[in-house]
Order: sequence, then structure tokens, then C-alpha cells
Amino acid sequence: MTTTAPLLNVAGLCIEFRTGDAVVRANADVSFTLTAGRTLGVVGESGSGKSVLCRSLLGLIPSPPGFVTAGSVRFEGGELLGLDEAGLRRVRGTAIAMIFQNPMSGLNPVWPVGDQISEGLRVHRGLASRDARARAVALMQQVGIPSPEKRYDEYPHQWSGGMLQRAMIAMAMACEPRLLLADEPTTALDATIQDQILALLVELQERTGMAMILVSHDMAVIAETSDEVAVMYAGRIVELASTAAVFRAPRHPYTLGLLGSIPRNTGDTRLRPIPGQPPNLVELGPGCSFADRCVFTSAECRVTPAALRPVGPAHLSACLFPERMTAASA
Amino acid sequence: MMTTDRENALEIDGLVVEYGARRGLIDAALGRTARLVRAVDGVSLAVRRNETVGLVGESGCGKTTLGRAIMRILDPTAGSIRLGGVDLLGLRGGDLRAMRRRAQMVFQDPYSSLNPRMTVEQMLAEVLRFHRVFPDVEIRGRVAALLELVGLAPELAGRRPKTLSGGQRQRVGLARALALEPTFLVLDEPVAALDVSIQAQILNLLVDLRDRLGLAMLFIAHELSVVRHMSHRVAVMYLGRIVEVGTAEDVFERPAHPYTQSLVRAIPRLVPERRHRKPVLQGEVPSPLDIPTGCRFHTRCPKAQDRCTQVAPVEQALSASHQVECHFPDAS
Repeated sequence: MTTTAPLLNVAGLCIEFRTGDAVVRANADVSFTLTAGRTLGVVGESGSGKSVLCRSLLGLIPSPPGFVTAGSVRFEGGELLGLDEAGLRRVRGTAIAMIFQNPMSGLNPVWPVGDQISEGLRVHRGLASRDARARAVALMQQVGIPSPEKRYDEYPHQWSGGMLQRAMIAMAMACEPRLLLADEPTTALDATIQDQILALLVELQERTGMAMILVSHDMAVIAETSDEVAVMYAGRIVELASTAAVFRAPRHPYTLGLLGSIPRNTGDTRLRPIPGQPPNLVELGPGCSFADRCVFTSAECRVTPAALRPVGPAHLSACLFPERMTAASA
Repeated sequence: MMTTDRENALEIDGLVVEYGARRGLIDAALGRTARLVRAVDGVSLAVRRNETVGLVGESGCGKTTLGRAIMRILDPTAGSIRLGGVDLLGLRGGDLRAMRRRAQMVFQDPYSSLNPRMTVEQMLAEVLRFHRVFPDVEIRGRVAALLELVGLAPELAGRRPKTLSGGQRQRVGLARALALEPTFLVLDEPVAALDVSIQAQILNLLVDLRDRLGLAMLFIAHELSVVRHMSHRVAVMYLGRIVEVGTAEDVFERPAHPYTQSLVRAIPRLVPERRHRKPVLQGEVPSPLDIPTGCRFHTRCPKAQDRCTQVAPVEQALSASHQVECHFPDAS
């Protein structure tokens, strides 16, 4: 979206999960670019493919059952798809790091937290134990872990969820990644702790200039942290634009539906939810996956493939008839 | 907080609930006394007829414990709970069962609160049969009416929970809670496990049911925008005590307690502008095993003074609807 060479370029990414006779299309023709220092917010509901997308960038999709059937993922000019395990190891942690929703699942319960933070420094950077420890303590300090010297030798079960997420962030930041993937990093946390962690992520990004992909189901979290937003539905990006454009003038009926589902406390007791349920990913038809729940739908929507295309300056939508939305709101 | 009032569906007074009274052999041998956690520490709250009271607070503040104590799933150590004027804590056996017809609970995870081996119809019929409110011949018709009430298609009656979506399961949970025509509902995080679009469907349904059936509700949730949307009044809990209570507008527009203020400020806004605010609240909630002296919020409070570390604040009224437990509340 700018003239600078993108840090990350994902093009036509398709990922399937095959189990028995069923094929689940988890990502369909996913394309976007991300520039250094920017944040892409990925928003969508359970099963929309947002976590699969993140994991696939680091080769974390177990295969079988998962298969990347098409597309490319170029990071700093090099192709990530098809890298062997040694190649992936060089990328993971050093160039691209990831934090998850449940920090406990990313930590070894029988190993001191501090050692887990310094491990990356020893393995990827070849630091001696003592130096790695000193650096890890400094990192713990930076992410707001109090008395890091003392807490270095404690085990994960002795820490709260918020502190463990800070440890995960310290671990992710250890080798100064150029891209941080954050998959629902605050979903398991209380409101005031979520506030602290989001502030920390924004601050770290401003200090280091890393790019970030922030996955969340919470539109408000995305609104406050992202430069661009990708809205995902049934494995596809259905809308991609600047955060301001997506929130102020959405051009896909699903985005409009998501925004209508959120309580805004304007005194109106009725929300405007999206009718129906997300589709079964095994039984997707040829047309737009959202057609069955869409208030603007017509017969063509069910049969015509809906690909992401420009509908305005730097604004992409997969809706076949975005003008129907504008006509309705006018 | 409120004295006896005929309009009150629920009145809680000075409620205390403690956990962990168990003392092991080794503890006994070493002469250790049991360590008690006071999850609810002197809570008073009233819910009027046709009123929804929201209960908010962070993990471990005691909000779920309070909900469960009202249902007598947990037994309080002290205090009283009155439902329509009847003291629940004195009830046993048949009287308790009769009370349960008038107060019901909806849980967060609709999957773990439904029996996986039973069909939707069997689950609803079981409740009706157990409480013997309807003759057997009427049960089928009553089940069909319940499904319609919560917006479930009749053909779902023969399905088991595994084949239902999250939203459908929560509708079954609601149908089961409404089967006995209660006057009071405790809803414990009823939409926390649901996707946003489904969450909105369930919230609309709850508003419809409340208005149609005249239900009083205690709505427990951690998501503040949802609580504000649903509640007439809101109570804020911190480490086992209600630190502020008022109308939704009092609490969200004019929060007086520093804890409420930081909670409200921590809500992410739906405005597409990169955040610049610094987190208001540092640190985390202390362990309920080790509740701070004086005001229990003083360890994290940006306004704490000497007095706060020694003297527990008592509740003071800022207006007829708005009460706060703080030595230095903001009276705006």
C-alpha cells in the first residue's frame, strides 16, 4: 500500500486440511503485503482461518492433515513456503517470532522461565550462558516483569497469566525479530492486564520498528492497534483496507454485520446481529460463502466466485455488489 | 445497601463465602490451622423486579462465587440471601427444591453444562418431570413451547449437544433455565464463549425474554461493554467486595472508585485511532489468600494515602443510586 518494498508478501495462499473423505478449505486465496513498522490486524470469528494463516507463515501447520496447495509467502524477498526444517529454524525466532493466546502452552512447565527466555539467545545467537542470562534479565525488565533477577529461576506455575504473556513476549523479542505474529495475545487476560499488554506491544513496536500481525476476534482491540485490517470469513480475506476505512466506511456486508453486533451503548437496546451461523467449511458452494447470511444477497451471489478486488483507493472487498451497501445506507 | 423493599426480587445482606476449610493430616500434625480464602467478604446487593444488575470484576474477584452462593450451589459462611422475601439459607429438602423453581442459573460453557448423552428434548423434559410442575401428558407440548421461546427450530429437539453449535447450545441452556418459569436468573458469563455475531443474537434474545417474562437478572461478565449494554445497574467487585454500585450511567460515565475508573479506561475503544494512552493500573490483583490491610485496593491504587493502608473504607452514598467504598472517591 506504500512504495516501500514490503517486508512480507503473501500471495494466493491456499491451505487445506484433509481428514478421511472431507477436505476443509482453511485458507483460500489469501493475499496481502506488510511493510516494516506497520501492524496488520486480522479479525474474524472461530474457524475463519486467521490462526491457520499465522501458523502457516512459520511452517507450523502439521502435515498431514494440513497442506499448502498453492501460493507464496515471501519474507524480505525470500520464499518461506517449502523451506526445510533447518531453513525454518533460521527464520523462527530470529526473523519472525510468534506469541499465542495461551502463554502456558508455549512454556515448558518443568523449566525455569528465565532459562526459556535465554534459550533463543544461546541457540540462535550463540551467546554464552552467563551473557544470555544477563540479556534475558534485561529483556524481562523491558517487558515489565518486576525483580527479574529473582524471578529468572521461577517456574511457569508460579506466575500469573499476565506475567506469563510478558515472558512469552520477552522470549519473542529476544532475537529482535522483524515480524511479530500475535495470535489473540490478550484474549485470556483480564481487562486491565489486556490494557497493559497492548500498551507493551505498541511500545515495543515503536521502539524496534518491527512489523506485527495481530490476530483478534475483538474489533476494538484491532481498532486501537492496527494500521491496516484484514477481515476474514470462511477462510478468505473478505475486506482489506486501512483501519479507518474498515471502521468508518466498510465495503463488505460481513464487516458491517460484525460492527452491528457490538454493543455501543448508544441507548439502543437492540443489537443488529448477523443472522444464521458460519458455514460448514466442508460444504462450501461455488459462490460467496457469506451469501446465506447476507442481507444484500441475490441469486448471483450463490453461484459467482467472490474474489478480493479493489472497490476504492487502497480498499479491497470480496463483495460482488458492494454498491448495494452504499445504496442502503444512503 | 438497600433496606427491605417489597419490590426487591433478591436481597443479599452481609454475605460471606469461604473456601479451603480442609486441613490435611500433616497440617493437623504440625498444628497448622486451615487457610481460608474469603472469596466473598461481606457483600450486600439488591435486584428489583424486572431489573438487570450487572456484576463485573477481574478473575478471582468473587463474582462467580457470589452467583453460585445465590443458587445455593455453595453454602455461605455468614449473611443472608432473600428471594421474594424468603430467606434461602434456612431452606432444606423440598423447600429448597421449590425455591430452585424460582431462581435458575445459566452457565458460561454451554457444552460442559449440558448432558452429552441426552437429547435436547430429554434434557428439558427431565427438568419438568423432576419438579413435577406439569402432568406428564403436557410435557411434550411444554418442551416445544420452550424451544420456540428461545428461538430453536422444533427439529433440533432430537439432537444431542455435540451436534449443536455454540449459540444453539446456549439457547438450550436458557430453555432449561426457563423451563420452570423462574422469576430470577443468574447468568454467569453467558456469552463469553460465543463469537461476536452469535453473542449479539443471544444478547437480543435475553433482552426479549427479560421484557416478555418480567425477569430479574444478575448478569455476571468480565466484558464491560456487554455488561453496560445489558444492565440497569452495575456492581463492581474487587477481591470479594463490592467497591462501587450505581446505575450503568453512574458507573460508566461517572466512576468514583479508582478501580472502576481504571477498568472503564481499560476498555478498548471501537475508534480506529492508534492507542497512545498508558495503562492506568500497574501490577496485578493480590492473592485472595493474602488480602491487603485497610482498603484492599491500596496496593494498586494511584491515589492511595497512609489512611488507605490502615483503615478499611466504609460505603458512602454519592447519590440515591450511586454508592462507593473509598476514602477519596471522585465526586464529579
